[in-house]
Amino acid sequence: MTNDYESIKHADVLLVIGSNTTENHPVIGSWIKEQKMSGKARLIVCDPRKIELDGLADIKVRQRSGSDVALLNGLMNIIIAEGLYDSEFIEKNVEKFDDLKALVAEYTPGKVSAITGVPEETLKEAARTYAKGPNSAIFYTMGITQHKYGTNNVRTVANLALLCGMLGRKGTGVNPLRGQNNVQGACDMGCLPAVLPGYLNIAKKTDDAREKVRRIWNSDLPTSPGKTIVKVMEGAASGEIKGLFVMGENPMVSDPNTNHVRHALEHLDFLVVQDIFLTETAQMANVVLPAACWAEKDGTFTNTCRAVQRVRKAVDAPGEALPDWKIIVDIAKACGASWNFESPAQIMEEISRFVPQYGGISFDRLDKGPLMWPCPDANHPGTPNLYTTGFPRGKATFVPCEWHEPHEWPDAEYPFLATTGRTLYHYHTGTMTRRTPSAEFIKSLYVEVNPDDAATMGIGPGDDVKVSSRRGSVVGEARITDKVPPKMVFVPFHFGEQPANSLTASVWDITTETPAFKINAVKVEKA
Amino acid sequence: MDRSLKVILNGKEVFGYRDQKILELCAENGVEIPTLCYDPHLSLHGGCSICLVEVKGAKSLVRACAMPISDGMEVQTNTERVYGARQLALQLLLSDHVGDCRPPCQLTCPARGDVKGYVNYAAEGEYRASLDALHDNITLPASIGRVCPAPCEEKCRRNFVDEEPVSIREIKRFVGDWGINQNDLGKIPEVRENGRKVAIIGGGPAGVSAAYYLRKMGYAVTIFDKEASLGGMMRYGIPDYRLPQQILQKEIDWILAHGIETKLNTALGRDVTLDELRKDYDSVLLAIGCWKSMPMRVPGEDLKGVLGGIDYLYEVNKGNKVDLGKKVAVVGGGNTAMDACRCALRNGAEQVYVLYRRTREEMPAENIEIDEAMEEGIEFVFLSAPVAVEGDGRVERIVCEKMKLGEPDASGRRRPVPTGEQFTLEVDSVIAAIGQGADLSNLPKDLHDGKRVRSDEHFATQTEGVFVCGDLKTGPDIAASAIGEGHWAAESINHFIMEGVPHRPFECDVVRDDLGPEDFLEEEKQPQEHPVHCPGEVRLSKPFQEYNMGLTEEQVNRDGSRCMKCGCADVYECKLRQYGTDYEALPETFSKEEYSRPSRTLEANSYYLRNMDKCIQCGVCVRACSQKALYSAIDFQNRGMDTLIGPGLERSIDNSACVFCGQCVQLCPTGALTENSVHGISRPSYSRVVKTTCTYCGVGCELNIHVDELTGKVWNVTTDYDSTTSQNEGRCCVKGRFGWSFIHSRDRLTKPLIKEDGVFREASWNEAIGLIAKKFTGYRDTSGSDSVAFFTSARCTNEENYLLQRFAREVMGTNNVDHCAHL
Repeated sequence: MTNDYESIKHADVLLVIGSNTTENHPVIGSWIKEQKMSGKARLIVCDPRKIELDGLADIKVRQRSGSDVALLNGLMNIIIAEGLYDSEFIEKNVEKFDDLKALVAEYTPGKVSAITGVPEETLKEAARTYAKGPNSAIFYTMGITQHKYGTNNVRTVANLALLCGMLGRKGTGVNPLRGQNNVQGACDMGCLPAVLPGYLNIAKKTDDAREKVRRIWNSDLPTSPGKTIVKVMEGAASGEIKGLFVMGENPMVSDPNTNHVRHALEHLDFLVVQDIFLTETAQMANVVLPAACWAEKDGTFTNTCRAVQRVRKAVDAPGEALPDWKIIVDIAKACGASWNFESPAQIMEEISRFVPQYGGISFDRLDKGPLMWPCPDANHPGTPNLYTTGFPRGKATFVPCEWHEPHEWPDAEYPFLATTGRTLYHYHTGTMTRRTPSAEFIKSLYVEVNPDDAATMGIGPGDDVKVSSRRGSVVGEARITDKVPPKMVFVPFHFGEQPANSLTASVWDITTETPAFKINAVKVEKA
Repeated sequence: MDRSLKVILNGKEVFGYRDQKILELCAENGVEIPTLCYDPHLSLHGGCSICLVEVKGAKSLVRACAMPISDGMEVQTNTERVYGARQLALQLLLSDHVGDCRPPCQLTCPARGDVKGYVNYAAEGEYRASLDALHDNITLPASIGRVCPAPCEEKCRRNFVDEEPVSIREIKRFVGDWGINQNDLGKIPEVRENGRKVAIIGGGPAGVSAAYYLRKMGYAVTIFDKEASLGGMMRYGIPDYRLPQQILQKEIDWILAHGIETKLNTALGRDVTLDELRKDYDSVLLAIGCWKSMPMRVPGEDLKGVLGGIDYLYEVNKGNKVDLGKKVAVVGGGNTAMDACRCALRNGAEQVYVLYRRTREEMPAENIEIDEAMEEGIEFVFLSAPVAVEGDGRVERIVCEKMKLGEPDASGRRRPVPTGEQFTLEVDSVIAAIGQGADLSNLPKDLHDGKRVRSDEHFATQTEGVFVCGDLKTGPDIAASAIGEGHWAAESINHFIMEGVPHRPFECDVVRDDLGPEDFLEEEKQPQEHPVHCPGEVRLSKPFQEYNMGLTEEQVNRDGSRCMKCGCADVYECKLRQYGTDYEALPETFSKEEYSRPSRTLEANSYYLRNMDKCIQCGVCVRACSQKALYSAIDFQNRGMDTLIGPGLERSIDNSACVFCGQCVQLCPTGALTENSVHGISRPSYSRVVKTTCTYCGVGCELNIHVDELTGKVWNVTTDYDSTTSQNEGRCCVKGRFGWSFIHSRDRLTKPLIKEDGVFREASWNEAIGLIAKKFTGYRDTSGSDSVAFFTSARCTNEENYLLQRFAREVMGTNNVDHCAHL
């Protein structure tokens, strides 16, 4: 998030797109609701599903799945046409406005209405409301990113905020909500093939990267391009990757196209899984290492608004389980490394030297409260809101994007659109929450079906329905609800025995390789 | 803020701001005002009426939560009028508060043993925790676990399900023995000396318990006992086959190891006087028990061969030889009679009679004792009362009268009525075990009335600083009662020394006694576990050896799990009970029939329990739901005496707008809303709170993990509205609040596993890490660095992610490192 949580209390307009906030980020959802219900802000909700926030929204934009770029371009078309953009902000801060203007000119309300299924009047009202602010904040999440053209979705969201100057002040911002507790931190820590910790790009800034690695790690920098998860899976299947080490992930359930993942993992020479349970993935491993869980170790997580926060050990780990960091240190030593880390605090000390944004972060400071990066030095108070004094690289750039049809679209054989996601009650692949009271509350896979479709197919509440795509199929209990529009079903992905990802395709956003979970052509039948 | 308003608060000048409420001003100035409905994070409700204070000039008391201050206001928060009004308000609330605070087993236990706590810890194999919980109220668990008649078991509601209770006593014994076998009965804490001294006369269960609890409070304690060993009636009144003396000694030694002094072979009156002790100590506690056998009041009682029951047992337990002859009559039907008759048999008597005036049914002795005595060949002669003992210098026979049962007497048992018919038994000895009394001969006359030591409900005698407890105060009672007496007397002595007046702790308990089998029809039946029965002839072959070996560990785990965890889950945190205790409110003041709302909801969902019988309508939950969770899933329904809080429209919570964030549960001041995972077992006083960050979504809520220090396990997770370090302002969702039990799941991985031929086997860390290092360096060195890859985790910490990518890049030389950022 560019802005912190407190910023929500200053927003005049809240635009939520592709985020079922009250289910997936409930506490942020409560602040959005509070701001709306207290009459301080207007709420625009853009979501194909009739999510809870839709019920509170002043403007309900129920666009078709996969039409987000068209929708956002359409809003910008109206904003430019009506002169509602922030020309002073653009003048000062943003490049390539002409490119944007040229592209969005094509996205007339009529055309956009046809693509998105949203009435022109609604488009206009949404555009005007957002642009007029005075302070408008955008919230988005996987509904924007998990598409083949997810990067374009994100860029277009950013274009909209830049166009209206909705950055750098309280109550504004482009606010992606992170799905997992420490996605932000894992990215910050350089757990991506192309960058070192602190987003130091290996290919683009090789010399800087090499120097830093030599200085801090006293080692050489590998410069051959690293493989993403997707490419690693392909490499495993082809035999190029021989050994894979998986720490705390369960790709057998979380990754698209389960059958493909199984095939890839089976082809590995040697698989190590370090986890707290014998997950579906761990069962395929050659060696399984028992890890301490979150309540059993010290460390830090970085949340969705860049706040670095302490994780504290509350209880001892069971049996011989060890914290992940300790296991990694032991393995590194066994491989000949002369590492000498004895505590997470000591590791953070190195992180603060490696990652400029974490330069002022230490366990001592975190004991007094969270710090939001960038926090470059020990006296820096942290940065709750980004871009308050402009952009770090000088000026931002509009990156106009065309709308493309999704990779897969319902047809005669697969007439429904399935979208996968999370529910409030379970988390990710369910290894944790399915061992808590939520396991009793929601025991197994369910499928949300629109009442019209249910009536047509003779499906009653609680009946088993079978959802099949070109890749595979799952069976779950029907929940008949108008949360989903006709010809759409929602399938949560928490249930390993009926994995929603057996439906999903090995299709990824070309830039980030984020799987396109939100669009799957399926057929639905009574099981 | 402009603090220009001057207020005289309890006589002290303080300053506040315009519109500030009296309660807020008090809080700022460290004056605590009780309240159940006020929460600084929620809007004002003003419903509980216990925050009353006195404002000069106002006709009636005012609500501190609602009344704003004004310049020159004079506020009194601690007058008798205020106290009385708050007490009355609390009593009214308690009259509409239906349920159990503490379970019936605990309330029945005279020592208030935390049965639910120690039984459930034991069921989970947490014996150390169980023993620690036991010691909180029961000082000698291994001993008590052998001899207690266990009134708790009679009240156990498991009887309603299985017609058999949980084996509370045997579990207690197992746990006590476990500690003895570990040679460690518990950590001995360092005592913070308070410089005060207490003398305790009598080292029986009452005296030893009082010593233990006083010592833990910081007193220098000395126990004076006339015998060479401590234990009192438990040592000298109970035969070894029931309670081996070395078990008792080990438990007493552990208590003494807390730093308690003893003066043995020192009798009051003979070796030391009460006046001397009063001079040397801040307080004196008399706990010398009831050691005088009651006479039968029949002719011939002073013949040689007539003994008192307790006198006989004393000799036996001292190891002294007593010549009883071949035929013995034991008079009486209590446990002392049973011990005496069985000891007589073990001492070589060939024929032992028990003479009892009523029938088996009315015998006060424990059933097991009677059964075993019968099994061993004791002959019971019921409905017979001694009329005379006859003999020439020594007992030769006892003459008895036949009795019949008449109308019930005060004790509820049918009264024995003489029939005039007599019979005679030829015997060599008569043991009169018909009761015991206190020997008051060494006590100043003004302390007693000839039968008992005079005392008030706070254990205080008429002499200042002199207290009395145990059998000396109550008359003969069970050991658990003596232990409780010692505990409460210790508390009262502490109150006397510190506050100037004796005071035993007030117990505020709402009690539910209207339950029966019909209330437990859904409970699954599971029979009680019993120790292996040892036949009479085996017992007699090793006459004074213990023969009950107790329950096995598996039996303890199984039987302990039969506990239905009665009593309120919120008992340790309930503000109503806390205030009720502080203000000594009696729940029975107003009748429930008149003041209690009828038929209210008891509803369990997957996460929490709604027990509207305990709802006091403070409305905190309603406000938390609408103002913090932003759902308004619940509201006040109906009006007047029918008012209830719920989702309305006869919906259940499962079908309401509730999203189970549990903020209402957390803020509920009573047990109306409780987490399913909390049972009133883990106590906040044995709990530590660890602040951490939630493991679920990216919001990063700060959570309070509550760890039971007795077990080292998590027992709850909550949030903190007052935290200064929290991003979430105390808000949370169902996953953060209720999604933690996986931590202690039995499925957790606990050892490295290596797969061989498709099957996992356990391995050592060395082996597993060695294998990984060999494989990965092998691939690196033969197939190249990029033949290996690493998936880090969005669920692991920054430190762990940093290290794994460093390992990949530095040690393995590859950039093949990624994580599922996109999922």
